[in-house]
Amino acid sequence: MGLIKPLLYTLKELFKRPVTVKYPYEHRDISPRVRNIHTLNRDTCQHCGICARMCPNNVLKMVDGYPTADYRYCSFCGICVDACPTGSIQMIHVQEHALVRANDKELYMELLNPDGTPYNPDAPADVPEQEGGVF
Amino acid sequence: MANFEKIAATPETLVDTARSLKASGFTFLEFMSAVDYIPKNKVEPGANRMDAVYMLWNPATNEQKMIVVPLPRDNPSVPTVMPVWEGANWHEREAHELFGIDIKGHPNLRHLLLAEGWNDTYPLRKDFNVDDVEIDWSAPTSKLAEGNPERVYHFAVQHPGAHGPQGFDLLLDGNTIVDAEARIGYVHRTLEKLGEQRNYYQNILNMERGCIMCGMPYIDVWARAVEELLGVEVPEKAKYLRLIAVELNRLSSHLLWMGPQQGGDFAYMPVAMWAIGDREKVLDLLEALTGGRITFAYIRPGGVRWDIPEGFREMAQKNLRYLESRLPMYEEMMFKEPIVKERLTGLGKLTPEEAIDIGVSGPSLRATGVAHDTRKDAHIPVYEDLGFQIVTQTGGDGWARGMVRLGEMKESIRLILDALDRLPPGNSEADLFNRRAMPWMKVPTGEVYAVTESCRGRLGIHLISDGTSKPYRTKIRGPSFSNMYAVEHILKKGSYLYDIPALIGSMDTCPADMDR
Amino acid sequence: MIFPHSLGAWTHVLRIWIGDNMLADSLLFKLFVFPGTVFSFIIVLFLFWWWRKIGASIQSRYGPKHVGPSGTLQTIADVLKLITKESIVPEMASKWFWFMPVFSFVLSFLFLSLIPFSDHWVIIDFDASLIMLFAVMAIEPLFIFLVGWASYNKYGVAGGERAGIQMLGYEVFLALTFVPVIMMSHSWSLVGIVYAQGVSPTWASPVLHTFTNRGVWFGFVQPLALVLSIIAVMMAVEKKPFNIPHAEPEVLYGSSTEYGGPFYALQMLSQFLMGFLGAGLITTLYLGGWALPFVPPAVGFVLKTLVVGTIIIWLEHSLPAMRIPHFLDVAWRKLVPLAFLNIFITLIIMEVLGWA
Repeated sequence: MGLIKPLLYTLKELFKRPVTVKYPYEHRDISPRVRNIHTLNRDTCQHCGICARMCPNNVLKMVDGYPTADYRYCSFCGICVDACPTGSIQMIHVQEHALVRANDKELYMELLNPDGTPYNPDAPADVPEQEGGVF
Repeated sequence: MANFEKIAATPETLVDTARSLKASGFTFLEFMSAVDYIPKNKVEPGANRMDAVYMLWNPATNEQKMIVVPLPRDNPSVPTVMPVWEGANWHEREAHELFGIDIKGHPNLRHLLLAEGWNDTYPLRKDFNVDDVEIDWSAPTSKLAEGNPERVYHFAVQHPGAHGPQGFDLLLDGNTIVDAEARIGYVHRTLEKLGEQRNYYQNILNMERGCIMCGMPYIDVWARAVEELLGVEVPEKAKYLRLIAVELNRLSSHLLWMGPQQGGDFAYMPVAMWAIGDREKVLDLLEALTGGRITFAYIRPGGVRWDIPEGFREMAQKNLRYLESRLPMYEEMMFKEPIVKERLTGLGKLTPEEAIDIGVSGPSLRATGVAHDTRKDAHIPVYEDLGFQIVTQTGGDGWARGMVRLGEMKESIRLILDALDRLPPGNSEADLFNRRAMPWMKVPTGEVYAVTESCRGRLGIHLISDGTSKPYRTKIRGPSFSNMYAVEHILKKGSYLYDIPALIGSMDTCPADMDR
Repeated sequence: MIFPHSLGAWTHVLRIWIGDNMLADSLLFKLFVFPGTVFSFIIVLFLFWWWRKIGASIQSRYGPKHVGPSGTLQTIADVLKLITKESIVPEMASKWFWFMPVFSFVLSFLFLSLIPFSDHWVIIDFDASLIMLFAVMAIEPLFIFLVGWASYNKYGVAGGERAGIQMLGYEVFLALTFVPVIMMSHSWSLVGIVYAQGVSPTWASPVLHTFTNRGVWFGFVQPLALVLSIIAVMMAVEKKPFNIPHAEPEVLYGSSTEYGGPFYALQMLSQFLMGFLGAGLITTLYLGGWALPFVPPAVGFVLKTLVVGTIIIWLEHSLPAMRIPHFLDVAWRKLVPLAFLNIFITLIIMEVLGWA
């Protein structure tokens, strides 16, 4: 009967290894194209502000000529990357950079360096220090 | 795809024009909406009217015609076309609440997408000011609840069987449904108004959120609409890549449907979990190709963002062949199993005529035997070159819909692998964008209606551009809007409480593209 | 029972309750430690974890992992969390709201008292205990309905109604599956049925059980009856595919929708206890009760019940839920005739084996 087949399938599955990835003890390889967080190459940035203008959610704000990001509203679409004429702003795939917000004020973060390390080692008071680099 | 003929009508001649058009083959009402022209608009400078538009489709010849009814901006009113197409019911309610068009003769003109106690301000009008809005929170939730709110069962949002932010107000007698009224609009994010605030490139973000589970067809149809207006031709390679991306998305959406939606209705956890696990493999492919698993921002006007990465062909072969080998097991566990088969057979039976009258599309339409798939009808590039076959079933019930989706999954796998084998060389993008000019990309004045087959049905975007860098009107025709109306129609005919979750699951309605 | 009227009478009663020489003889010990309260909590804690682990393995995932070795203490963590939660009582709920879940737990406890873990470790033992067990199982849907009724919630009442509908389906079938066992063993008491399967008494019981010793476990002689009994018991304790009254996508959580926090914990525990006891019933009727070579009697019973319980858990996780009309159709049109056929086959087997 059609009832027996599902029982056999589940019996077989009972003895197979689960597919779960035991995060955070195990990690999965992710594609390098994944858009997890921005990086900024401050040497090639032309301060044109196109990235800030193109952002659909007004995430980027130009501060001292460089873009800073308010990650509460970022949707990680990558339009800022497409818009940048020099390719200075990029998005990298490193994970595990959860940012802790201390309060509800406007929170603009300095963008990371191209290799993923934080730009400003003396972080401002309301941004908790990130453990050096991302892993 | 884009070119359609406009037919003018007045409120008095509307119903007769509609009837004669329906008799001549235009049996499918795609949507009914409106376009608001205030004097300082740039499409027709000086115009001061509101156009009620009815987009029709002839399934046999694949022609599109649009009835345009010019109306004055204060107190616009048209008679209802429900006697001609029953599916106009909800479209007219939406036009009423968003534009203020009074529909004469409509049986139930309550708010559908907006809150029930919304005052008489109309959001999609061009002179709308959000500070004028006041909401009366004590208004009854539905027509059924007006008389006796205590008797009404709210089979909606909080209920695990309702599959998300959608639902019904029910009057029950034991387990039998006496009356039902749909309640939607919980995720109304005003995508159409937002579309007017963002420029053509930023709208990719907008359109993708039209449906979470299948965002790729949305940006595909948006890109094609903009390209039609710009007069740009995308390279062959980009067309193939678009097909691969859309079909991968379709696979992941159907797997999600089969697992938690349809399987979860029956508390059939093994199938639900295995489908989710297998879907991860498809999402891995999407992540390798586009950089995202659920939101992609991959297809843009002019082409696609990236070419396939290294090792993609091998990864696709491995993952998709594995998935293909699992599909017979799903078929046996879901569709040949006696308990599931008994629950799905006869569930929400629709006849082909009913389905087309309501505006049902997608697998739900093909399950009634009507062989219409927008991928073939609208001659979307590359599908015919790869020998695309439409999957149909007769029966029109839940079981047939499930089998159609299973068949579509098999077809998708075949299409993706064939497209990867035959991928032509070239650029993945037209030489369109000088980066500095992108934010200010101006699209010449024009009007286009682009359609595609999303995972749930016939998806269309009616785009009016006015020569600036932002669109004038972006109307999204979401397939689940009409599919959910079909569910309400079925429930009103008489059904049972224990059938509702399975019914909603089998029609595969997505609240996101119902409410936009 | 006559109220103790003198010191001598009181002493007599207290002796029975606390026991003369062996603590293990006392009724109090049996009620509260084994196989009573303490043991039932422990076994439920284990069974909940086991249920989750098997369910997870079938679904290609891990199940509880972190709390305790391989997640064994997860149940305790969940129960503690639930007990410390606020219990929200609806405004219009009846004044019996608090009592209803307790009543249903007490009912499952009554069920526990009747099941013989061995002929010594049984709380209520008399010569018609199978009938009383059946009566207890029959009252249970009433309490499920009352739980829903007391909560003044549309979905609660709907779930309670469904318990009644489910009972309409399984009651007759359940009774019919007991008949072959009674026929083969010539006994109406559970202990007697175990004796009839060739298990020798472990002590001299004060109750006189009438039975006919067949010398073999009934499950080997009558596998069809064993299968039908498993199905009947799954219907009675509301396991999928027969979980119509509760926890489905249709009626939120059925009759116990409004019961949160500690009541939810109580109902979860009572549900697993009933599951264990249902499996225990099958072990008693078909698999030789407490007899297992090389192990003490009660341990043998628990082990066998856990094996039967595992099979039931596997079935539960592999099948979808049934619709009400389909369930009633299957129960009355397919299973009741099968039960009658089963009785007929039993008659033939008894004739062949010379068990007149």
